[in-house]
Amino acid sequence: MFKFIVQKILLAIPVLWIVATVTFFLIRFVPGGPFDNERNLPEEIMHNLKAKYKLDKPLWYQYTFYLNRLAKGDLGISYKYTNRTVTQILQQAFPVSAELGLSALSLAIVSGILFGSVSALNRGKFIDFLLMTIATAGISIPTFVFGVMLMYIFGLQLKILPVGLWESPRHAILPIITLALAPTANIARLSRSSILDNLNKDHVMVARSLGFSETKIFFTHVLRNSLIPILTILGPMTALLLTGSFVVEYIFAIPGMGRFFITAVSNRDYDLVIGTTLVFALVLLFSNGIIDILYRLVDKRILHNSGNL
Amino acid sequence: MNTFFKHTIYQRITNSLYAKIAIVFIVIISLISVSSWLNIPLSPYLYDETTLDILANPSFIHPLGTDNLGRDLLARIIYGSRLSLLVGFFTAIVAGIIGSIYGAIAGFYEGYIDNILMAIIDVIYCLPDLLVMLLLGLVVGKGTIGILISLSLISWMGTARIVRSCFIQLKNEDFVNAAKVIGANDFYIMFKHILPNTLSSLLVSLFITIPQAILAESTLSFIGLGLEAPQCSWGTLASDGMSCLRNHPNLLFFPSFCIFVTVLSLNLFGDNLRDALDPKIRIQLKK
Repeated sequence: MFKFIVQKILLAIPVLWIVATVTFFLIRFVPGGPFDNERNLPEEIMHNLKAKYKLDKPLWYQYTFYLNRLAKGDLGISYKYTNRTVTQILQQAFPVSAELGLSALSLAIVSGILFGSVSALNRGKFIDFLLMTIATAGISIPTFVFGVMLMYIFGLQLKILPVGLWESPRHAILPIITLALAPTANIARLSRSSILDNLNKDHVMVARSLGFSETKIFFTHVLRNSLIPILTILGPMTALLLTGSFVVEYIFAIPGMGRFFITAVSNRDYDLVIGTTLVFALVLLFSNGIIDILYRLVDKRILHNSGNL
Repeated sequence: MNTFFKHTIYQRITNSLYAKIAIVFIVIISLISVSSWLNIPLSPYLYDETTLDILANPSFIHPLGTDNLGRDLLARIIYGSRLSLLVGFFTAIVAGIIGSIYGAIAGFYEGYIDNILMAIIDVIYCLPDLLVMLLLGLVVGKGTIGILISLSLISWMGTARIVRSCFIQLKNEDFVNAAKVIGANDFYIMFKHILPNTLSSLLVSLFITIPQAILAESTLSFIGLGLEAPQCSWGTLASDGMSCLRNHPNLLFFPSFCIFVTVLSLNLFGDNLRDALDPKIRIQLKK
């Protein structure tokens, strides 16, 4: 297991390097520069500005300079939020996004598996039909529509919850529910089919014939095996949450990473764009790594088949 | 595909009430979208400054109301369906083509070619979709073409993985060996012999990609980084409606509802198609 973790960490470094490189060149190929929005600056000031951020140098120089600095753990300075380094901005924005994302993820996992189990155990009954209809609707409704709908009903009409910002736990309710909807629906659909698969397996049949109660069979024999496919989609699910967080942060005016990223892209704030992208990639790599480890803990067969890992 | 196969698949899909409703909706929406190429009485760009029909509520003349420039919302929604559907179908087809070629090569050759190709996909998976779309969209330019290209370029990975796993399963089958013995080249075997056998998986992934692309386009347009005025899709309409949410929720509600119904129908159809084509479920049904 230790070797496996080390291997994963070593593999992450080239991936992050590729991500940084791709983003570096993509954002520089985008037409327009970071100081285009400033009011007509005199030639000399423009020149000095560019020289300060080394933007007047050739591209390869900027690239090696950036990588050099990155290797030392310095993400650079923001061009727009003057006097703030990218690290400072990220330090402020990341906890907000992490809080939002983790709450939504936990909500999605718990309620998704719950709905999926209820649905599978009542297969063919009305509740199954109802839950699965809601789940299919849940993956079909765009995040922004659902968020605005909640905002309109609870914020503008009923006036019981705030419509934006990130200040108290009450502010968090609507964004978290909005963000959790699509993953919940996905997990519910998947766990239903995976539980149904496992309910008819031979070992469950044996347990039943031995006279164990259905509750015990479900929790000890069915649920554990059904979790494996759910673990597999948690990786894509994290990516989905990150994408969703862009929209949710935009709608609810939450000062998180997604919001900074969108403004940074439109401002051509090069270093901030690459910095945010790297953090996103790191989060995805990290969560995929955790999922791989969990995978091995839940399903001993993988551990067995892959030898000493 | 023989007639028997076609017949049973057709029957199995239409067995479900949901699928029937979904097909009806898809047909209706497509027809409306196609009809927008004909002359409709209320052009989405046409507005009359002399009438004071700005932000009108739904009425007999304007069934869904008008926007802040006095343009009829129904006409704009019908007009916007063009781009929304075009984005969905175009993206799915391009993603299908790129994905099947990529997956075919990776699955057929395995070894280090496969490792490299799959590593590339893993790297792209490490970036959030929206981020890649944004950057690509900015590089190729905004507007319809930009959106189409950037959406296509990020949607093919799922298809590639599916096709690859099909190829790994199929490439040691007898018919492939027979073709090799005859002396067929790799290219011919891949696309003439193996690819047709992955058709059902390809079809399913096609119908998964379409609703995803429609959602992605509307989301991008909604946060203001996708299509821009004067182009109009359901996403931009919803985005415009957001500013008048408090007093005129109809401007946001109707375009959103169109996205929802379309995506829901496509998802339901895709689900039923997958069930109908899945050999495992077919065996279960026989029991």
